[in-house]
Amino acid sequence: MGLLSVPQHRLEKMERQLIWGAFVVLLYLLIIGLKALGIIDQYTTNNLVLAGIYVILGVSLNLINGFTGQFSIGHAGFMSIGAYFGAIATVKFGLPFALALLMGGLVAALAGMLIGLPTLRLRGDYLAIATLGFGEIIRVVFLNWEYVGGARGFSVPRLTNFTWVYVIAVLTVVIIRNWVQSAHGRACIAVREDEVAASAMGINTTLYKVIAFSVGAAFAGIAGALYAHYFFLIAPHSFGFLRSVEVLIIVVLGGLGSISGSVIAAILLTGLSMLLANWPYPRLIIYSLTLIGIMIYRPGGLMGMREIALPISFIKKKGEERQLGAS
Amino acid sequence: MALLETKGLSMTFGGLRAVAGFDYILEEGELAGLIGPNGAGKTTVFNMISGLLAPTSGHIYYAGEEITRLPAHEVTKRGMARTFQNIRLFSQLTALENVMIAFHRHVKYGYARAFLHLNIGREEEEIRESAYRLLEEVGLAERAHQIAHNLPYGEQRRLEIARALATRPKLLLLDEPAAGMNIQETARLKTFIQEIHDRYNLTILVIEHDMSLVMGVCRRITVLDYGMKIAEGTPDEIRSNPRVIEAYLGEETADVAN
Ligand SMILES: Nc1ncnc2c1ncn2[C@@H]1O[C@H](COP(=O)(O)OP(=O)(O)OP(=O)(O)O)[C@@H](O)[C@H]1O
Ligand SMILES: [Mg+2]
Repeated sequence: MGLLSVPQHRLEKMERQLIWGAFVVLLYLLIIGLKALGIIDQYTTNNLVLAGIYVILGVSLNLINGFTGQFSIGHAGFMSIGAYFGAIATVKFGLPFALALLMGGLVAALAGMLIGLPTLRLRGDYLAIATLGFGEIIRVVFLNWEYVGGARGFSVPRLTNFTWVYVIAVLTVVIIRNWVQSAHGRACIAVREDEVAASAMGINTTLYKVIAFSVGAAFAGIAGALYAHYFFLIAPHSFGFLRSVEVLIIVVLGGLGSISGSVIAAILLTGLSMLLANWPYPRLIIYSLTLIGIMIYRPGGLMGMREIALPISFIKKKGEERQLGAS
Repeated sequence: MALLETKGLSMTFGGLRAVAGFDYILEEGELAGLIGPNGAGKTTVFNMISGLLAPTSGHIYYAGEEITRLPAHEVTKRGMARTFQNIRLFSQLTALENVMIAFHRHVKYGYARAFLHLNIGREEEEIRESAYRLLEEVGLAERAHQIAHNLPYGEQRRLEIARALATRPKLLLLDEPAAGMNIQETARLKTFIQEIHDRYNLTILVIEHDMSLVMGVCRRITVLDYGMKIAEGTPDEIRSNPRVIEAYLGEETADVAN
């Protein structure tokens, strides 16, 4: 009886989750397998790690820009805070890696809150400028902070591997998807749609903006800590304005308000820059052309506000069979 | 007891006195009207009462508590809801989502459970069902999954009222609900306002230029002109009040006289 008494749509939801779960595990096993066989070399692995980090950055910026409608362009700033404080945790204090990731995320979230409280009252362009300024200030701070090497940079042991990045990227997607598909996430979306109407519906708009901003910052911080522990050396210029723009491009390309869009765009863009690594100039041109093309032909981004959905007709059929079996 | 009371409520924009010393009392259960020529300050009064604008001076009391300068979401939490003169729906979302969002203040689960989707299924289904039921009650059930922006104008107004009702208010403020409606739609709206007033035990204050609606539905009417209260009384008293006729002269004299 058990399963049969569950309503059809709950059953569909469980099956969908199972299919996604299986997909995530199989993809991981496939990549690990190809790596073991030597088909995926070190260079490709580096890019897979980078793609995962960009997935985390893109999806978390989408929470701020796409779902809550706040135009932030300081994501590299939060990433650098996570990178430096994560690295301080392992290098200076000898803390375990997992704790360093947590620390990177927490300090970035705190910074997000501190920046967010005063600036989230600003609208549109002003918020963008404020976050841009924040990113630059953070960069200058690290540039002059001798404790972490200043302009020379800060060497960090490699503790990140593909598995860490993969698992955390998946967790990021799941956690942010959960949020936007909850009443609290709907409050963020309401803020995006019409802030005045949202507050008249009983939503504390400042609170939800600060939550989105801090959570977005936290994941950017974790991405930064993963980055720091993979590429051996971090320096302030690794987290400049261009990095923020890259993340922004991912969000716009994938679609403001589409998590699957950000995931796809992060992978596409990392792949593209990997293929074009030897031609840095054409790379910039192709980047720009891609973006212009998107703006013209798909102004909402690749996915608009939609998400990838599994075809559920297949599941429905199975549900019917079950009912037949029960009669 | 008065559900809503304002004392000396005033709002100045730069040099412009939009509302000047507005004293007002609304008893629980009333269905009252607020009228006045364009620019009289009616919407500004609503904005101050609902917490969207902080008054320059004066006081606002709701259910015996002073709510002057409380932010809008705090006012809504205390049981007041409103609609807007120029419709402010969440226009890219469906009708159902619009109403679901307005259940916000009744959501019991916290942030952590939202991030982890920890046992929120039951409550989410309840929200969805309540929202759907509310759409049924206002006659918009078949529109549930349509994007708000694509609904006909009259239905957008109705959806905005449904969304306000979802916050489960005691006091409902309607700012020109009949604006842009044709005669049939306005007639339907009139019965609709009466219906929700009775069905949900609401106190309603409505701003409206359409005199057939105000005179037909409100038992007490207050008239604003240049930010000041110039008259108050039953529809009959207002219709024959010389100051009111003067205020509307050249604009809507004919309407008032009807
Ligand atoms: N935010 C604002 N900033 C500056 N002036 C304002 C603002 N809001 C309203 N006003 C001015 O205050 C006066 C009263 O406006 P209000 O919108 O309250 O009038 P109203 O009675 O609702 O008019 P209508 O019937 O046209 O809606 C008008 O002169 C208007 O231009
Ligand atoms: Mg008005």
